[in-house]
Amino acid sequence: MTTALLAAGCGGGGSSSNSGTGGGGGGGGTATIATPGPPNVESLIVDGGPPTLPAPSINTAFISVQVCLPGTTTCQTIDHVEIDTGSVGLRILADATDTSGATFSVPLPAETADINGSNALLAECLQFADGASWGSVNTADITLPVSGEHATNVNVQIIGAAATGGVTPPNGLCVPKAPLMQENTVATFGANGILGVGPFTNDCNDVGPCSPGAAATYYACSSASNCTITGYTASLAQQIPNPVFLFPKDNNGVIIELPGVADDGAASLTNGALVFGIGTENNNALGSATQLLADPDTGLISASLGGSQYPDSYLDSGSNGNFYSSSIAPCPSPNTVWYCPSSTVNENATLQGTNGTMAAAPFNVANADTLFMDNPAFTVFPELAGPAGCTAQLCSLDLGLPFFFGLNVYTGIENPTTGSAPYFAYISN
Amino acid sequence: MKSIRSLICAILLGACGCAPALAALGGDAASVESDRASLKGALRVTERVDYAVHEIQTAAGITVREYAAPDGKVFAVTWRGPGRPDLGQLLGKYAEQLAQGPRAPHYNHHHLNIQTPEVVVQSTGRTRLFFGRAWAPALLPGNFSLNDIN
Repeated sequence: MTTALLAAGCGGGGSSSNSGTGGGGGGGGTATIATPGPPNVESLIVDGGPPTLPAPSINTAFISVQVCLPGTTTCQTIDHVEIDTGSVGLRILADATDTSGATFSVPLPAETADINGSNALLAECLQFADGASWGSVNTADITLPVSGEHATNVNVQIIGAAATGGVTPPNGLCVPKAPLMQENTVATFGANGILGVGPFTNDCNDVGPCSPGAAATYYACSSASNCTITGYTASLAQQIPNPVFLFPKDNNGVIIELPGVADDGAASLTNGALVFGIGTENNNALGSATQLLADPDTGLISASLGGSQYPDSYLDSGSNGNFYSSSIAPCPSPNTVWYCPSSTVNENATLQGTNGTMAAAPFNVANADTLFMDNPAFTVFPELAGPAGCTAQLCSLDLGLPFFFGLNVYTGIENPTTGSAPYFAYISN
Repeated sequence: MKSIRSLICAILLGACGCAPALAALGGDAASVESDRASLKGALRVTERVDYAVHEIQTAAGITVREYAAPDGKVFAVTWRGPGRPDLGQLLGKYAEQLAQGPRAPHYNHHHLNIQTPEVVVQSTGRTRLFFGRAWAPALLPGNFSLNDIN
């Protein structure tokens, strides 16, 4: 199992570089991709996700993660764990399979809460924009198999865990109604798990306890069928942390390095890299990357595009397209989540950090229906974009995975101890 | 008459055992208006020329705005905050309609965009910030611009 992983991740010597003709869409650009291996480079792929999915995932980047019973060698390596710079924490689906096809079954100890003198199991409902995931909070030793990065006794979420009610949570908790989806299985979630890598240190509150009611809400369960209805105030230590922040050394951010892709896409990408740490090794210096500081509470930067302002913007590897409000026509139902221009649109956005620093952000928007029809087996599409509502309350340009192709994108984790803000960075021409 | 606490509870927590909210999309905002005093500032109503905006803020910091026509019917809702409201409650009968349709897996955790002739739902969110809006095209007052949904 380990040999196969190394072979898949370290094929070829040296680093690969990609140069293109420049321009938008992520298809051009020059980026040197670090070679997977110790001390800090994990192999990163983009493909359709676990083979059992009813439909393939698109524009989703995955790694493998080894999860162990703390202090032991009782471990399983789970493949197709999504890499998401838009969330925080390691979460594994209870029905995930490991690289040999066995169901996840490491008996991770439960995180507990003292409720009236007895131990209750800690559970969490994590909201997504399109649904919610419910699961138990457990402790694990985590090792990234190719780089060797590790952290011990880390709180993780086991989504759909039987110990806290399984796939259908008790008391109707965390069961979103249509149009939202319950995402407590691999098939409904779209991956074996998700590793949220930034840019915060905890999934709820970096500096204090987690009050129920926000996207990450914790609950205490006296049994699988009995969880507190009104939520539980989880302490700082009880929350799900950003595992990267707990690495011994390369713990202040990540760099996502994916090759450039032709305009109409690719079947898959197998030679990407997830680099841990920024400025901590000889392969992760900021160099000439433009650093865009983000708001310390929301992790947002601002953007402008074609004379319109998008004050609440961000870069997000967990978004499978670029999303923003535009006059481009959405695709006909049922693909209304994507844009379908009559011909490819070349956009030129400008991003701005809270420190005033600016960076150019060009990208292309192609007709999504045409892209899917021309290459139905592809899972990589650099020119996918779709609508996002824009209001006076909030207007955002979300640069998702398409923006990352051919560009090394840094996500800097906020440090509550030093007070340093979260940030994004990339080399902008 | 439902108290505003049960309204917020039902919309935003979804699991407190309270009765369903009245001021869902397509529902009547009148009960929200009449309970405003008991909220001690947590509900704010802004009257505009052709519609009123009822703004509710929760303890968790989520702001929900409901747009009501002169006859009290809610034709649009927006939300912004560190989490999202229970859309099933907020969308009322439109959620039931959407539940009837085919439910293919979505695999996009940070965006949802649904457009049917009856309802449009746009939901966006990632750690620390969620926002979105929904409206019923058939209920929009005349001369109302979508740009006013803010």
